[in-house]
Amino acid sequence: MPTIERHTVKERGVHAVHAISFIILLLTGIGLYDKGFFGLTRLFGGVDWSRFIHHWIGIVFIVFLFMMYFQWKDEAAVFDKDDKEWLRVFGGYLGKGVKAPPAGKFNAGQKMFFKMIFWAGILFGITGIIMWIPQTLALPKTIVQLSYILHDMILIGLVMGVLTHVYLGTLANPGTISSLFTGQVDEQWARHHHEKWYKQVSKKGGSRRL
Amino acid sequence: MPKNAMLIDVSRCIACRACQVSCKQWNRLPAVKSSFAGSYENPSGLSSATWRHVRFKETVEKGEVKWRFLSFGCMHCKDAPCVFVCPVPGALSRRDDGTVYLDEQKCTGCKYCISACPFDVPHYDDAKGKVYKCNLCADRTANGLSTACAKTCPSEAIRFGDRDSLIKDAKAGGKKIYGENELGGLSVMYVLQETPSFYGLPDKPAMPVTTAFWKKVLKPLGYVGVGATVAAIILHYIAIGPKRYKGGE
Repeated sequence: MPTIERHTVKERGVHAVHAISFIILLLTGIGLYDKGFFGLTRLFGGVDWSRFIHHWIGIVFIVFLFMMYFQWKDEAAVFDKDDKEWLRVFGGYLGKGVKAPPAGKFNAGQKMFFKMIFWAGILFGITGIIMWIPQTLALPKTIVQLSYILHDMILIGLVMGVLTHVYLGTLANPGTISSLFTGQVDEQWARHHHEKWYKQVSKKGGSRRL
Repeated sequence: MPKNAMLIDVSRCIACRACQVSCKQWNRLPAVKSSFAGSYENPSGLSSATWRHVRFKETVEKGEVKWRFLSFGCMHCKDAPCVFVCPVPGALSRRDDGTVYLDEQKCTGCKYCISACPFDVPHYDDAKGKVYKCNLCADRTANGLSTACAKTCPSEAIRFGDRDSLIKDAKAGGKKIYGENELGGLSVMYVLQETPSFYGLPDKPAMPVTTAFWKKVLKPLGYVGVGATVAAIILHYIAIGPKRYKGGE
C-alpha cells in the first residue's frame, strides 16, 4: 500500500505539544469551573499545583498556537471557490454519498477550525492573563468579570470544537489518524480526501511533501 | 440557631479607630504603610492586612466641616456572592451562626470572590497568594466572646449580639436598618445618618449581573453545548457513518 508524507516531524511535534497542552489546561482548569470537577485537581497534586500548572502551560499553549499558525497558515488560512462550495454542502458529512468538492492540504472545515483555534487561543490568553493578575493590571472589576465569562465561553466552544475535530480525525474518517503519528497517509486516502493536495504532491515526485 | 451579628450605629461612632486596631491585634495583622491623602482617614481602605477600616466622609456644609464615619468590613451576607463563586470546597462558607468564613488554609488565591463581592471586601495578598477578609472573629464567637471590634468600641457604636434582638432593639428606637434583608440578610448591619451611597455603600447590594450570568447561565449552558456535541457525534456515526476511501464507497 503506497503511502505519502502528510505532516513532517516538526508539524506533528507542534500539533502534539499544542494538543497535549490543551488537555492539561482542560484538566487543571475545569476543577475550578465546577465544584463537581474539583476532584480532578488531585491529579496534579492539589488545587494550588493545578493553578500553577494551568498558568504556565497556558503560556506553552499560546507559544505553540503561534508556531502552528505559522507552519500551516499558507495552506489553512486561504480560501478558494471550492472551499465555499465545501462549506455549502458541509463537506458531504450530512448525508451518505454526498460528494464534496476537492480539497487542498486542508479542507474548508479544517480551515474554519484553524481560524477558530487561532482566535479562541488568543482570547484565551488575554482573558487568562487578566484572570491571573487582575490586581497587578489594576483593571476595573467589570473587565475581570467579563474575562471570566469570555474565558468560559471560549472553553465551551473549544471543547465542542475539539470533540468534533477528534471525531472527524478518527472514527469519521478511517485512515486519517496515522498522519499525526507516522506522518504517512495512504495514497488512496489522499486522493479521496485532499485531491488537489494529492495532485500537487505527486507532481513533485510522490512521497515528498510539497 | 441564633445568628451572630453586629449592628453599627454610625451616629455613635467617634472615629477613634479602636476597632481597626483591635482587629489587627486579635487577628495578628501587620500595620500597613500609608501616606497622607488630605484626610484623617488612615489607611485609605481595606486590604489583605486591614480587615476593619473606618471610612471618613468629610464635607463642608454651611461653612462648617462635617465629619461622618463608617466602620467598615465584611458584611457577612446570607446569600454571599463570594461563597457562591468560590470554586474550592470549604474555602469560603456561610456558617450556621451567620459568619461568612474564609479558610486561609484552603484558599488557593483564584480571586473569584474579589470580583463577585458587591462591597469590595476581600483583598488579595500577593506575598501569600491568598485572599483575606474579616471572619467575624469566628475563633472568639465560637467561645462565647464578642468580636474584637465590638468588644473594644468605647462608644457602643458597634454592638455584637443575637441578630434578631439587635434588629428588635434598633426598631424599638425607631431606627432604619441597612442590611436587614439585603442579600438574604447581612450579619453586619448599619444604622446610617445619610443614604448608603453617601458612605460608599451600594444602595441595593446584589450579586453582580455578570457574576450571576457567568455561573447561573453560562455554566449550565456549557453542559448543554458539550452534551449536544457528543449526541450529534454519536448520531452521525450511527446514521451516516464514516467516510471510507476504499472498498465500500
